[in-house]
Amino acid sequence: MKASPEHSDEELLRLIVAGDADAFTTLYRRRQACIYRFALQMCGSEGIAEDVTQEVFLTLVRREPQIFDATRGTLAAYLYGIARNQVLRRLEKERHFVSLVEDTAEDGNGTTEHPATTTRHDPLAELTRHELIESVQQAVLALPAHYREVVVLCELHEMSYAEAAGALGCAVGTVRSRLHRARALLVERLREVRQREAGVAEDFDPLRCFA
Amino acid sequence: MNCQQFTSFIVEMARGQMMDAASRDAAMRHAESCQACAARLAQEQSLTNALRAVAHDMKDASAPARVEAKLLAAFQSSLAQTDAPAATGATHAPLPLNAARAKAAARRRLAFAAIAAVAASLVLVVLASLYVRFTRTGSPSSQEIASSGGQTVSEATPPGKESAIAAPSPLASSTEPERQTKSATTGTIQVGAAKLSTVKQPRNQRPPTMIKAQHVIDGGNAIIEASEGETVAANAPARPVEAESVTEFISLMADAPATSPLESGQLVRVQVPRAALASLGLPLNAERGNEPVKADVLLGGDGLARAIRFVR
Repeated sequence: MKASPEHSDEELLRLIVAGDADAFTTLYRRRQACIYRFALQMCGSEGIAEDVTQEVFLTLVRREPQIFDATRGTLAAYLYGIARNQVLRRLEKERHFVSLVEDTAEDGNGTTEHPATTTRHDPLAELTRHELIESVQQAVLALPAHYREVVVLCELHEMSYAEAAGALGCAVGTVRSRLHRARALLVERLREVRQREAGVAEDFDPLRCFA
Repeated sequence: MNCQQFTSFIVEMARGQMMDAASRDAAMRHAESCQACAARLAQEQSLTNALRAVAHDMKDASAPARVEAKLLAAFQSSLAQTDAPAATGATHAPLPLNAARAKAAARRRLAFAAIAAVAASLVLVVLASLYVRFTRTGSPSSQEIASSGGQTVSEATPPGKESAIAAPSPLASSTEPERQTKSATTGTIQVGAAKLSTVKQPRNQRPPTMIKAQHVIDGGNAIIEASEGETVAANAPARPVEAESVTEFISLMADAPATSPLESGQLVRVQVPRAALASLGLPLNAERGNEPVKADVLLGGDGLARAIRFVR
């Protein structure tokens, strides 16, 4: 059986274990972007995201059939789980270091951080959009890791609660409650940013209704 | 629907998720009637839009092409290794992708092994020095044995069973004490011809003062089988510094009319005047007549000296 894009992840994995390099390439090209983005959104560094992506797919290079248990979830969730562990490990390592620059525009390897702009037509709109995205990214990166990962998976990767729960290895209710809490923290942080920038907090002001 | 119930649906509503139509309608009606909840919903929707903008902004992000190239090279290398593992003998050789990492790991392992080896040798040296110190200071000297009574060995076997007496081989005396014990017989020690046997003493080992005595008689030859601390090796060449030459035991009870069988005894190292050799009929060097001579005295359970042997 020759690998093709129509094959499911699990079929491709079987081919990979049998030594099919084309299957490995197909699966890698199918899944690398989301793994890379997940790592990038979790830690904000392209270098770390690249390393994490490499580590995740190295587990497939080893071609050990027992590495993945299809009864416990999808292969995509399994790969997300590996990426998550790698990211958390690196975050834990870097927790002991303090960044000398607030906004890291460049990492130690000389590679620039991911640009957060897409439109190029209206400079003012582009600037506003850039600032918004930048502030949201910073707010996400400032979340505790267990809140950040549910925001990344459910909001940025548009996973369902069940899919995120499969990737994180926790209950659906846990994902839901963490997402609610994470969004509340995001609102709070964005409000603080807005306060710093404008001096007055108008938007993102948490309201409480007692009706 | 009240505000608390509305709060439980607000995130799903802001994200536009599928939800029960009746609950959604009720929530919308509540938002129309509650300004605060409507503001919160708008706030959540703004956050959702901002997050989607971030997601859209990063939708094209992917790993650089070099990652794919490295992984493919690693995959091919893995295939090559599994194709001929027996020929190379390397089943878990590091992948090219991880070569630097594997080298670092190997260096760490080597450093750990070196540290472990140094620590192990240090422990061995300490243990060896402790052992040497113990064997030098911890073992009782002959005088200490004499004062404390030494080691008492008792053996009782039916009388009348006399056996051929011969000095046991070093191997037998050191490795088969139980068998020798069974073969021992009892009796009285009689005077025998003084016959030198060599006691081979390892370096730094205690003098042969402790004897598991199995005394027998055979035609006038008194034999003390020795073990635990001395090895009788008549055929072994005696080294001048490390070895002692001893005579066979000479009975001191030859004139006693009735002697109870020796069932237990103590061996005590003493120094006696050299003239004692002459009193027992042994040749005496007149030039060294005033020098003492070492001797092992066998004391019976009744405290009487039963036999003596001389040590050179």
